[in-house]
Amino acid sequence: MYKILICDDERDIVAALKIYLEAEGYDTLCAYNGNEAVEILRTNQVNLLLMDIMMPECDGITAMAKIRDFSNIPIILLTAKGEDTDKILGLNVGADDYITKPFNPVEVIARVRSQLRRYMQLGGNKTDEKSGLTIGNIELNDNAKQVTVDGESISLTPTEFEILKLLMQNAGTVMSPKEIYRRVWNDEAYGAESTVAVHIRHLREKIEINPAEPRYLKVVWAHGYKMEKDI
Amino acid sequence: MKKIADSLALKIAAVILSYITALCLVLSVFAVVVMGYYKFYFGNRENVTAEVLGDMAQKEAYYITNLMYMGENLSKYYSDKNVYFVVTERENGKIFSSNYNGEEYIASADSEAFFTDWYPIEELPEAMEKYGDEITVIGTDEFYVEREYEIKVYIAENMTKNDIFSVAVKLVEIGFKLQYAVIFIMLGSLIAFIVIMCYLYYAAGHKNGTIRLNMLDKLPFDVYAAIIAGVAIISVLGADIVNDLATAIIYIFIVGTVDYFFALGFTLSFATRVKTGTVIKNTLIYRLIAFLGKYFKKLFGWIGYIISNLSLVKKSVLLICVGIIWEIAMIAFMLWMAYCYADEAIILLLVPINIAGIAAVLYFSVILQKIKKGGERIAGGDLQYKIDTKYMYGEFKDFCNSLNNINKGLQAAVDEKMRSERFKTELITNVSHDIKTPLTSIINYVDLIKKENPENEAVRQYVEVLDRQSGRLKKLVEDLVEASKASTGNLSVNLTVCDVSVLLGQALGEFEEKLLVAGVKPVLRIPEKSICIMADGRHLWRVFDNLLSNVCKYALPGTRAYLDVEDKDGRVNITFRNISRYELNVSSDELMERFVRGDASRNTEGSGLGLSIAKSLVELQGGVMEICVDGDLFKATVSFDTAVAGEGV
Repeated sequence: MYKILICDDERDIVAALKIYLEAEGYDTLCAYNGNEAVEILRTNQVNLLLMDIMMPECDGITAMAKIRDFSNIPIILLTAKGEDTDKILGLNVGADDYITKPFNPVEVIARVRSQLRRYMQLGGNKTDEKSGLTIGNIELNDNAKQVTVDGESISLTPTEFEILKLLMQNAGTVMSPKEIYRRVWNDEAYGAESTVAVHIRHLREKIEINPAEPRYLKVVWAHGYKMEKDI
Repeated sequence: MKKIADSLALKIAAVILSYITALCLVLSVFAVVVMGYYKFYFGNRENVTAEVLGDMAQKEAYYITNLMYMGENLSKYYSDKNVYFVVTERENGKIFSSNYNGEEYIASADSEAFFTDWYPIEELPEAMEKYGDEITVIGTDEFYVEREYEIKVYIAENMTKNDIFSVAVKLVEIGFKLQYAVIFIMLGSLIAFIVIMCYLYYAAGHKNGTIRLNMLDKLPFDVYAAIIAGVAIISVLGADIVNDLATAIIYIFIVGTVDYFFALGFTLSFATRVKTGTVIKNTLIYRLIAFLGKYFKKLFGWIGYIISNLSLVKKSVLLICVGIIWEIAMIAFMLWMAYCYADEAIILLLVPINIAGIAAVLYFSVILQKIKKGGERIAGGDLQYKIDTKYMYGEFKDFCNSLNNINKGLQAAVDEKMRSERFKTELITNVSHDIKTPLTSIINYVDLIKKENPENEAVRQYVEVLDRQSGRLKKLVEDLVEASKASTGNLSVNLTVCDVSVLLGQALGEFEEKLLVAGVKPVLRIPEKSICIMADGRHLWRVFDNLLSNVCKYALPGTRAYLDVEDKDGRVNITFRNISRYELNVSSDELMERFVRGDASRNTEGSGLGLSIAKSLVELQGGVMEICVDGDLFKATVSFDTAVAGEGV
């Protein structure tokens, strides 16, 4: 069973997360500041770390810098700050993901599962299969018309599949709704922007953990949509 | 060092020593110069003696000539000297006077003398016999005879008598013995003199540890200098009383000594004055100028005071009066000049005043231009702007300084406002962070209670309320942070060319289902061609997000919501129109205030910050947002300047 370390100075939050994660069948360890987390990680076999940024004695960023000296386990930051700069700082120092407070328990579980799968099963450096496209944890097999996210198969409509394929083939570039319409529907788009938008939203709900904060399929407002290239 | 400088005894000793060394120096320098002149350092003794005595013999010859002019008895003067002389009348070879008897002589000298003797005409026959052709007759009553004499002076080699020549020989002898010693004395006394003078100049004025002025030092310097000059002049003029060598020596010695002490006192006083910095100040001329200057300053001060207290208009009138008087005076002068000289070129005298007038007009216009520019900049909000007052005077300078100060006050007020706004934003961010942490616990534990599936129906309902209200609280806190950031401009704005129709399409796609649930049918009316504006896509999306959320929340179900985009005269207007579900009993201005909501009862979800955030964000991107309420029709218009497609991304 996977062991997860929860670190937050707010004991109630730690207790709640403990209940949710144990309900999902994970083992949990608890720490209440950065130093404790580092100590536990040194002596115990832990598979994932959930950690708050703002903590007394030793904050999350400092603790993470120390942990990265000896461990490469997935780290998900819990932050109440919600500032873009804090997120960027966290990801740069070595976090794998972040969740802003107040969080939805379902989202926490989903992100934990995603990170664990990627770290434990995919090994992070699995070679690409020739017949498919892979970005992050999303795999698209054109022959089987099948898409898996974090190893789990998801069902897409043919249109959604075509849109995802187009975006994954052009990962990193912004595609306008008109362009997408033309290439997927094979027709000229006349005021069809919202049609594409609706499909993309559905697609996002299927492949993203939190559709409001997408990791893969980003909306570039007033220009189009884009699949992140490097995750 | 201080003690040495203060000691009075040492100073007196130094003064006396300085006098002695100065005396030695003067004498030795004199001796060296004389000996150098007579080649003491290059020749032998015999030659030098001969040279000296030759010079003396020459002087003696001139002296004899003088005696002859005066008709003195020559032999009387030379009975006790080692000198012999022969006076020969050239023409006749007659020897007038001689006591030369062929002795050995050491030096000799020649001189010539011409005499003109006047006689009455009666003596002509006798004279004819005596002088022959040398007689020149003037008129009928007198004649004169011109005679030429040759005077030869010899100085005896064996000096038997005690006179100036024997002394000279002895002096030469002594000189030869001392010729090098004198040089040493000269150099030694020179060094000693310099050292003593250095000490004296250093010590001058020192008394009881400080520098003080004595009586002499308090005398005005120019007066002192005049006294010294007077002493020098008297010394030179007094030399008239001297008529022989002995008195000359005594005179030079006494007068030299007195002058030396005067000069020493003067230079020492000068040194003291330099040290105390009173050289210029303690002069009669300076005092006089300072005295007069004080009154002139007062006079100008009064005039200046009167002028500065006149109003600008009176000042101008005064200036014009002065100008007119000047002009009249110049014209009168010119007319007079023209009358006297009849010269038209005199009209050129008017040129200076006209040049001055033109210069003044130019100066005023330049300054007015500066003030105008500065005023415009300040009025335009550039509070950092300072009007340069470098070349301004009087009223203009005062005016510009006042303007610059207004500036300063405004700047301070604006800075204060900015600081308080920033503080507010920071406070809201921090407070919201502190709210978020307990809120997280509340949301999670409400969720956990829900998962426990309580059997009591009432408990289930209560938990439902808790769930909904904690969700609202979460949204409220998030909106609050956003509203404060947007209203203070504490957000990064990255303007790019945005296609409005694409963004509206995307936004409608996002809201499709929510609108369906709300029972509102969106009607999008976009022109054929793409319409671009300069905006930040993320912020503009947030604006549309808020407006569309409002449509979902407040539009009457079963109605249509109209979304129009039009490009009119270089402005892009995006209009959202819908029929309100509630009676809109607040004004459009109030709706955009924070926390004001369309439904007075506040039952529905929403923070009341949506429109306020949207407005702030639109303004941050350089656009304008207006809200119009007409009965139940709610209309929001966002407008931006049209941008050229193809710029940017």
